[in-house]
Order: sequence, then structure tokens, then C-alpha cells
Amino acid sequence: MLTSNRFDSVLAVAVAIGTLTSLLYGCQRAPDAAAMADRLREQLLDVHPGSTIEIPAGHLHFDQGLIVRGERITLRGAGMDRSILSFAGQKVGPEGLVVQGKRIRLEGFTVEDTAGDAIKVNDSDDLVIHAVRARWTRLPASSHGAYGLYPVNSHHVLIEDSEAHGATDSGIYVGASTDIVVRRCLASENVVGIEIENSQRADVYANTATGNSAGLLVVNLPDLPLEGRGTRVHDNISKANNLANFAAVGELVANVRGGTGVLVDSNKDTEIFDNTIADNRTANIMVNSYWTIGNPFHPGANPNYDPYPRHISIHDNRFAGGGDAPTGDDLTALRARLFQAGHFPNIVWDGYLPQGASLAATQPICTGSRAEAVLALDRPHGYSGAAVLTEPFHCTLPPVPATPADAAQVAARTN
Amino acid sequence: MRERTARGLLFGAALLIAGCHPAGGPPARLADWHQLSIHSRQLVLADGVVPFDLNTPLFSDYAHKLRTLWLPPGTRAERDGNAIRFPVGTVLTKTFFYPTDSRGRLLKQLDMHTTTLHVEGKELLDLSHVKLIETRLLVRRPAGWLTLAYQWNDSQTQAVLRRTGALVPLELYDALSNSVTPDTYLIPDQLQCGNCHNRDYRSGQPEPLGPRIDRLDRSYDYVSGRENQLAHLVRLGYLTGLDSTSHAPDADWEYTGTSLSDRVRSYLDVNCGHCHNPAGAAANTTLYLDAAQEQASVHYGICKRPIAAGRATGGRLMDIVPGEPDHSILLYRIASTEPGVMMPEIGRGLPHVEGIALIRAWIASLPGQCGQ
Repeated sequence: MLTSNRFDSVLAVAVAIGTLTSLLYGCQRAPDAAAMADRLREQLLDVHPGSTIEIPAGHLHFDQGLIVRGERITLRGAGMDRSILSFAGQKVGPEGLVVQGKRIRLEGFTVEDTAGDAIKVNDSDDLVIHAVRARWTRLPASSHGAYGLYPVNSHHVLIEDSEAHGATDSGIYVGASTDIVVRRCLASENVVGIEIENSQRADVYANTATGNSAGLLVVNLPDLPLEGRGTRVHDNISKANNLANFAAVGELVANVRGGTGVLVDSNKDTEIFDNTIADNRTANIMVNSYWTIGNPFHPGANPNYDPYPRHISIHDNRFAGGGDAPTGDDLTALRARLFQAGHFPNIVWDGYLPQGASLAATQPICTGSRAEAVLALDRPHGYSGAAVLTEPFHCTLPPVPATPADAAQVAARTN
Repeated sequence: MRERTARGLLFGAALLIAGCHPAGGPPARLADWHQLSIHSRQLVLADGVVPFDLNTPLFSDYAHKLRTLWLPPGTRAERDGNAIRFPVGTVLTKTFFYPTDSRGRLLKQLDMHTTTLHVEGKELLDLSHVKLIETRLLVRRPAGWLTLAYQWNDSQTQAVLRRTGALVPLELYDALSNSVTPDTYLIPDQLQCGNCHNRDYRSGQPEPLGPRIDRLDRSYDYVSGRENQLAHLVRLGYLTGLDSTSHAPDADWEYTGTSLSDRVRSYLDVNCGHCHNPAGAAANTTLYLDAAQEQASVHYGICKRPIAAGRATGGRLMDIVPGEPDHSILLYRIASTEPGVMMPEIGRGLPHVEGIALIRAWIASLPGQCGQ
């Protein structure tokens, strides 16, 4: 009883202090940014299912990364130009914001200058990221974090009307996830603008990727639980992604050649259509096997991994420019040999096939009803047999279904 | 035992309130838990509060850790394989402290195994020789474990709740090199506790990490004499289920009489395995460093390319390249103190020089090669 009384009085005092505090805040014109930042951290400790945390307008600075853990949580700022969460010089990281939980909605704020990833969502179902920006404002770019907006191990993911700038890996990256929509986003000055990695049923549309090393990447890596397949990339603009690659050696994307509009690496059942892809100086579209990155069959690796791209359907895209100044001495020499002062065709394929398998049986690429020239690099033989081919790729694949968790459904389920 | 009962009732009330009245919140002072108290410049363990040590602990900036266990009267913990299931009401404490010299400087000491002093039948730490930084609690409530951190004041008279954590500037004096190392020590906030303690990440629930059968299987100098910790807990009636079923003790990472690979297994398990396990926060990387893994596997990092390391690759291609510690990302990251590069991600402001040397020697000893 004694203890209980003590708690009651503590409670009474707390209420009194709380009232006093809010009165005091009421008297001030506005709490300062440091107080707002402290208050936000405390609010995140107290979230419960259904909580909405409002991020005030202002430039809030944090020494440490923030964590959101819970169900049905909304984190809402006053707009990505008004609510800025800065982690410049952060002492405890690595991320700016780490989120875990079902039915999460993030909207209307910017996270900037984090030591590691800007916003990582690890393990979520029904996630909406709406009008959120991740960016790095400081140079050199090689000191930036890996990912901007980074949902991983998540299901039913919608990222829309958002931005990412300056990531040393991918600006917007969705990995090991299913039922994904990324739409109406802007990605620039990243190594890769938008990446879908080892994920299934992703719809990437109406985005703009420009000024990255590569605009869009769909990839299937070895030794991961989920195989990458079933992605649609359509109605996007991928233009002038010619930034010199600034990823650290050892990162997957360090292998990406600057100047790539859309890159598909070892993925299956991927449909790329109705995009505008222009002025990407290595290639507007490149389709590769994992062999261009490394040997996936080192000792202990998963022997069932399939390193070859299969059923990449590329049709009805609008192309302009590009392929005129590829990155790398090998491709520079190849361009001079095959095209003199001309440019690569819009689609470039590395030329790896499974041992003994024919091109027709593997179907790495089909260009649909319209015949389209593909530069087959013959990389397995040091480009010696490189040639422009049309007929072997003149095939039609069934359309990849639109992702069943369409955006509206996801949004409706969220809070 | 009577004392334990009376105190237990108090705890029971406190637990109910902490568990059911979120507005009331947990006690503001560590002393309210009646586990540890200050008497004449000594940190004294209450009756029924049992100290314990681990074969291989998590490295925390050379801090020493006094760990204790208290169970409500009439309850006992049960062995469940290598794990221990604790009853509702269990209180685990961990006090982070540094030994001090005569000038009050915090000492960097390599041996961080903790011993308590015995005075008049009590287990205690003598505050004229140590400086207390914080005490963390794990409290078993019906809904799960509650995590709390209490920061000790400078005069070492009391510790108060720090829900939002704190960054504590420290200086560690190394007598061997006669040098001082500055450090920013992290007292975690309640959510940061989950970074390590939510070992099963999807559950969203914290759990104790240290008190595991294999980690407890070592001797401790109790006030009652030297005894194996598991045997001691069984004798006190705190632990059941420890029949003749054999189990292998966790290796002491410092004990060179054990094989290098076993010492590495223990070290990586306790320092990395809470995230790097198939159910952990780092499961997406498929780098698994918990003790259950096959050490020769790609998932233990051998010839494994990183998934999401960013610039933290340090320009290296693979997590572990056999025979090539300086080409292994793992070594680069455990040696770094830079947020975004360092591993573990939080809770470490200094490199663990001796741990790094262990991992370096092990990688150098590994046979084979990765190919390209």
C-alpha cells in the first residue's frame, strides 16, 4: 500500500508538472529546436498502437538515431520542406530513423546527413512512406550513408511522392520484400536511384531517376532467402544517369557502370515498358548475369542459385541518346571497334548463358512485337564475339501481373 | 528467507504498478528496486540477490559489469535447453563500472571478469576502488521483459532513471602505456535496449542475453565460497531442470587453453549474435554469427559478399577472406568506432583491441581461398 501511495503521489506530481510545462510552453512563442528534438525522442519512447507523432516544422538536430517500434504508428511532419530531421555529425547511429512494426505510415518530413542509412524499415507489414525525403547535403559524397529510403524484410510496401539524394548505394531501396509499389518518386545523385533487390511483385512506376550513376536497378543476389522475380518497371523517366560511381569497393553497386539507365541483374520475370530512357551514356538498358559481378558458386554457396537473367521483357519504351560514352576501358574500346563514333544500341546484354543452354531456351530478353537491336557483349569470351542481334530477342513474353497489393489497398490498411 | 518474502511483496506491488499503470511509470530511483544499495561507500547486494559472471561477455568500452539475479520467493527459473526461463517478477541487474586508481582515474583493465568483495556476509563493491556509471535492469512482467537504465550520480550516492538514455564523456587511463583515452559512453534509451535484447527481432520483445546455461557454467567466488554458478543456483533453489543432461560450457574468449575457433565462436556469439542470427535484426544480411552456426559456412562470413554494408566495406570485397584479416570486412568493422561503419552498431565508443587481435589471429589461421 505504501508503494502504491507513493506511485499515486508521483503520478499527481507528474500531472502537475505536465500541466505547468504545457502552460509554460503555451506562454512561449515557440519551443526551441533542441527542446522539440528532445520531445520527439520522448514521444517515440511512449508510442502505443494507434499513436500519431507529429513532427513540428523546423530544423531539428539529433546526436543519436531515432527508433520507432510498434504497430499502427504514424509519424507525420509538416512537409518535407518544413520538418527537417538532421543527423549531421551524429555520435550514435548508424541510421537516422529505424522503424519496425506493422501498419506504419511515415509522411511529410526530411531526414538528412545520417552516418549510415537515412530511414531503414526492417520487418514491417503494410508500410506507407509518403512525401518523405532522404538526403545528404555534405561533401564528399563517399562519406554518405548507403541507403536513403530502405524498407527490408517487409511486405505490402508503398513508397510514393518521395525523394532520395546522395546515397552511396541506392537512394530508394527495397530488399527482401514482397508486394511493393514505388511511384512518383524522385531520385538523384545516388549511386543507384531506385533499387529492387531479391524481392517479389514490385511495381515501380511514374518515378524520375536522373543524375545518378544508374537510374533503376532490379537485382537478384545469391545466398539470400528470397529470389528476385516478378517486377514491373513502367512509365518512369530515367534520364542522364551519368554520375561517376562513388560506391566503396566491395559494395554490390560498385560494380554498376556509371551511365546506366536501367540495369537488370540476374532477376527473373521482369517487365520494362512505357518508360522514357534517355541520355544514359553507357547504356539506356543493361541486362546482366551475376557473373559480371563475381562467382556465385564459391565454396559453401547455395548451389541452387540461378545467376542468369530470365524472361526480361523490354517493350514500348521511348529512347533517346545514350550509349555514346560508356564507362570502362573495355566498353570504350568495344564501342570504337563496333560503332566507331556511333553509339551502342539501347539494350545491352552481357552474353552469359547457362552451360550448354541456348539463347532461345534461356530467354534472357524478349523485346515484344517490335524487333529491337540488342548488343550482345560476349563478355564470357572477352567481347571477342560481340555483335548486334535482333532476331534472337524478337519474342513476346506474357505480361508480368500488376502487384496485387496496389497502393490504395496498402494505404487503406494503414491506420 | 523471511526478509526475502517481505521484500518480495513490495516488489510484487511495484511490478504490478510498473506493469499496469504506464502513466505511473517505473520507479525513478534504482534504490526503489531494493536490489542494490549504498552503505558507507559500498554498493551492497540485498539478501537473495545473487551475483553472476559470464564466460564471455559483451564488450562495452572496457566497463566491468556486476550482474545480479533475484527471483520472487517461492519461484524458480527453469532450464530450457541452453536457455533459462525466468518466472514473472524476476529482476536482473547489470551495473557498469570501472576500477579506479588512488587519484580516482578510471582504469582500462584487460580482465573484465567481475568479483565481489565479502564483508560481514554481504556481497559488495568497494566504491573507493570503483566508479559506477549505470545500472541496467531487466524485469520480467507478465507481458514480457521491461528494460530500464539508471545513471549513477557523480557522488555515487544514488542512480536515477534515464528513460531517454545519456551520452557520458569518460576518460580511461591505461597504466601500461601511461595514456588517457577519451570515450563517449552510451547509456541506452529504452528503445536502444532492444537493439541487442530483441534477439528475436520479429517478436519485438526484449529478453536477457547473458544468463544462458553455457555462459553461466563457470566458477564464482561467493560469500559462501567458490562454486560453479549453475550448481550454486540449483543449491539456492533458483534453478531447476539441470539434471545430468550434458552441456558444453561457453568458452572464455581469453582462455588460451581453449581452441581458437571456440574462443572466436563465443566472442562473436555474444558480441554479434544478438542481431546476426537467423531471427535477428540483421537477418537480411544472412551473416549469422551466433553460436549455432557452422563456422566454415558462407553464412558465417567465409567468402561472403556484403549485402547492405555501404561504405562500411572499407574497400574490402568479402566479410571474411581466409588467411587475409586485412582483406576481411568483419575485422574492419569491429575495429572501427565510426557510426555507420562500426559493429556492433551501438554501445561501443572504443575498439576492443584484444578482441580484434583474437579475430585477426583466427582469420589468419583459416585455410582455403575464395577464388576471385
